[in-house]
Amino acid sequence: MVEIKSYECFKQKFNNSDDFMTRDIKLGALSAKLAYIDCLIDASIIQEGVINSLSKIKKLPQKNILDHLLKNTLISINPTIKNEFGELEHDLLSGNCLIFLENELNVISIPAQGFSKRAISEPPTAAVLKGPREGFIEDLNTNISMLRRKLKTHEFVIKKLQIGERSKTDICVAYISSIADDCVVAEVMRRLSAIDIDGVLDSFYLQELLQEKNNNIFKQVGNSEKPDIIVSKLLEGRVAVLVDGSPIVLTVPFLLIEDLQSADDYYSHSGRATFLRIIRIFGMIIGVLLPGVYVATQIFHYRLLPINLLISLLDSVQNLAFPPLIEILFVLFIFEILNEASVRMPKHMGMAVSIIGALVLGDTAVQAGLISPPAILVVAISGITIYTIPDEMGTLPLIRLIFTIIGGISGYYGLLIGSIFLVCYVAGLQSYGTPYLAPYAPNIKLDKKDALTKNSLKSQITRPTSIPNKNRIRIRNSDSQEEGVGQ
Amino acid sequence: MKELTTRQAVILLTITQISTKIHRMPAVLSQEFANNGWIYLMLSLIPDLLILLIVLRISVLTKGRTIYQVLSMKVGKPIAIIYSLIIGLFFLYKITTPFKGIHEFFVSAVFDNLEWKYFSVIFLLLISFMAANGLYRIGRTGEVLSFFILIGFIGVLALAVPTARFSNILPTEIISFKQYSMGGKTLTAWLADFITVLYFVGRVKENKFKLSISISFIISSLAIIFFCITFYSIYDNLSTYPNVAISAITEFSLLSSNLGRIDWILVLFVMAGSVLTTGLYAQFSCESFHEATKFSKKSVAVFLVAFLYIIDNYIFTDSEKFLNFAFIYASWFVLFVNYVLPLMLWIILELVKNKNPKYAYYPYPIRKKSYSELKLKQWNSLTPKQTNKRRLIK
Repeated sequence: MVEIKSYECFKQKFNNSDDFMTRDIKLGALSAKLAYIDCLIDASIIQEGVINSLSKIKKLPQKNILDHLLKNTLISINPTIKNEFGELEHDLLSGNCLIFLENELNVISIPAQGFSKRAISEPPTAAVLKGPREGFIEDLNTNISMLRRKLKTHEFVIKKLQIGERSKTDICVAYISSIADDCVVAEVMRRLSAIDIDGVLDSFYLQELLQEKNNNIFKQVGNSEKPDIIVSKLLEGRVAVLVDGSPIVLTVPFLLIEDLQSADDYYSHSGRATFLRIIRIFGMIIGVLLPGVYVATQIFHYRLLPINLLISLLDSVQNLAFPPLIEILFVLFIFEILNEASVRMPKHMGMAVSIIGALVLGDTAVQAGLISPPAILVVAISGITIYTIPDEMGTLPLIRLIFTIIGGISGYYGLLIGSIFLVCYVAGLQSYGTPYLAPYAPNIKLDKKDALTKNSLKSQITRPTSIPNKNRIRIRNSDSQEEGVGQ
Repeated sequence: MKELTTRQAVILLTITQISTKIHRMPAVLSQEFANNGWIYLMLSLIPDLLILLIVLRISVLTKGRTIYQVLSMKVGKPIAIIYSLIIGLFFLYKITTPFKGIHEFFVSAVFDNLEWKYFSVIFLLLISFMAANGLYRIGRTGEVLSFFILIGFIGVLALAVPTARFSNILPTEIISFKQYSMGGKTLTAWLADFITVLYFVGRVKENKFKLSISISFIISSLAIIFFCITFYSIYDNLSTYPNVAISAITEFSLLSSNLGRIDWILVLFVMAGSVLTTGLYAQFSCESFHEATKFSKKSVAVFLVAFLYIIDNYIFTDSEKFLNFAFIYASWFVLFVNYVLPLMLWIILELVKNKNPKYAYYPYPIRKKSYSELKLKQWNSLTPKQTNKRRLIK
């Protein structure tokens, strides 16, 4: 067998790995090697598209062999010619098969991807009553196709790059060129280009790296599993970042108000959407502050309570073994453990956890004098209300814990100071130049049409001005009054 | 540097107007004028509005720059530094008013037993955080909190009004000019919030600034007058006693008697305004000292915090000591800053308005570059090698 230098060099680089497969082919008088990674290709493409086509060749021209193969034999399977090792390595590891020819430095790369992927389904983190139910999957091309299907315009731009010294993960930056602000796009590209990491396994790796402040507990990069949400954000001028292997797509700039909005809001009546958003923000405030207020009231400010409620409360807590702060922290701790266990346990055991948690643990702990019924009630209300904003589940329980401790140590005084500190801290945050609390701080009147309240779609003539964009007009029709534009 | 929007400036002015006068001021006013205190407040609106007009004229003369910048450019840096030091000291003194009010509210009304010496550290940490950070952050915080403060203030008045007897506030005697002028000296710690507007000059994006500020000043002054009227109507002859008017005013409401002190929640909302005001004054003071001395903002903030801690816990251990200091020693200085300084500034700025800048350069850039511009410049300044560090496939 004739030695093909470029192939030998390649094989050595792969350390003779067992899944690095090779096939010897004869193209007339010429020897060739076919190389691919076993588990990444579709065998039928290799067999029918490549080997069968090549084996039919009886005679090759003396010159321009590669051109002849590309234009005559392999034309139906979209081959390309490459000679740079890095590109070839990436192609091979992406599921392409490579054809090395004798006495030829150039290599033919043929896409033959054949690895299995999950079917498109409704994402578990963003279920909706009405509206599209499709969600992103782990395959980048499928995700791009889902976006392309909804945005049939040449202005929808995809920029690809690779991040990860070893994982070489494909990353896509998606935006609508006529809407997205060039500076935001440039900044996203700059930050992505600056990342030097050995591997990116999920979009959450990038979420942290795309943030302005690394030690910030509030997320400054949005995410979603639903194509309709991502498209709506792209249409507002945001930039999306898709990561191969992750069903979660990131968007920037991000505002806190986005977490109060749900996909359902856009597929139901605007009045109901407004009502639900107000419920969510109250849920967030109650969820974070209730345990702290309860502890502070019980320890320092019992005079706040009406006399009947105070007597009832004192009856419930009189024989407890622990002081109020320890008691509520204990219940919160148990709640978090049950929460974590119910997420990690197999689904069929979830019922058992609920029974053990709610009936056995709760009831027995009350009877044993470890915790009081009001404490369980407070933590349960807090736990449920926090779930009205599932996207902030990483942050809110932590803040709740801090406020509970502050309330137990310094009463309403500490809660007041803590709340103002929190607001002051969040008010100073920004995501890609956009104030985090916009459109309320700073006040942007036009953007309030779809913020905490949601006006009808007809009145939302302009895109949000808090998100930098190049094209402000969203709706043009005869009824639209563009008086508000430019205010 | 335009750090505030007009709306933010209006909100901050309204919050400072209301939240500094809801603690001790009604009682002190009552000591001077009995239940005619509200008439004094109405009368004091006239000179205050005149000075406010002068301050607004100053904002026109500065042409979008801060007073420190204009003084540096046209009069000379020493004068600008003296001005900044005076304003810095003035706001350092002004911090103490809402600070003592918050102290009294929590120590006497809310807690049975509070070790304020240790708890004031938490408060001062917040103040230092606000002082060291930009004015925009306080402006935005004000925008968020304004909703709660408004709800709290209206709620407190709504609870208090049903228990008020407005016949108690009928004028009992005529306020003489001597009484009026002495009252002005006594109440210097609380009145004349137009100095806040003076500080806003050059820091607010001009958009109906003058009209909005004037309207908010008048409305918030009237709101405070109504608050005092309600307070005197409820407490009548005893109105010199309650140290914290905002919590005392709802003490006899029907809702409070049936549902415990549920009104405290509303009072706490209003109290958030007092905390914010303290932070705002600390920021003003910090920024002024920073301008004058060029020390870093953080080190000035740390100094302010340490100074306030010593004042509050070791020198003015209770409000009476602070009030004595305010009446005897500080009042002339405050009167000077409140009424004479704006006049002096106005005259100086009118005189030098056509004068060329003394320095060829401006101490600060007229317009700060936006975030996007800076980022684009940064991106464009990268070399091809840097931008291609990660290879773009397409």
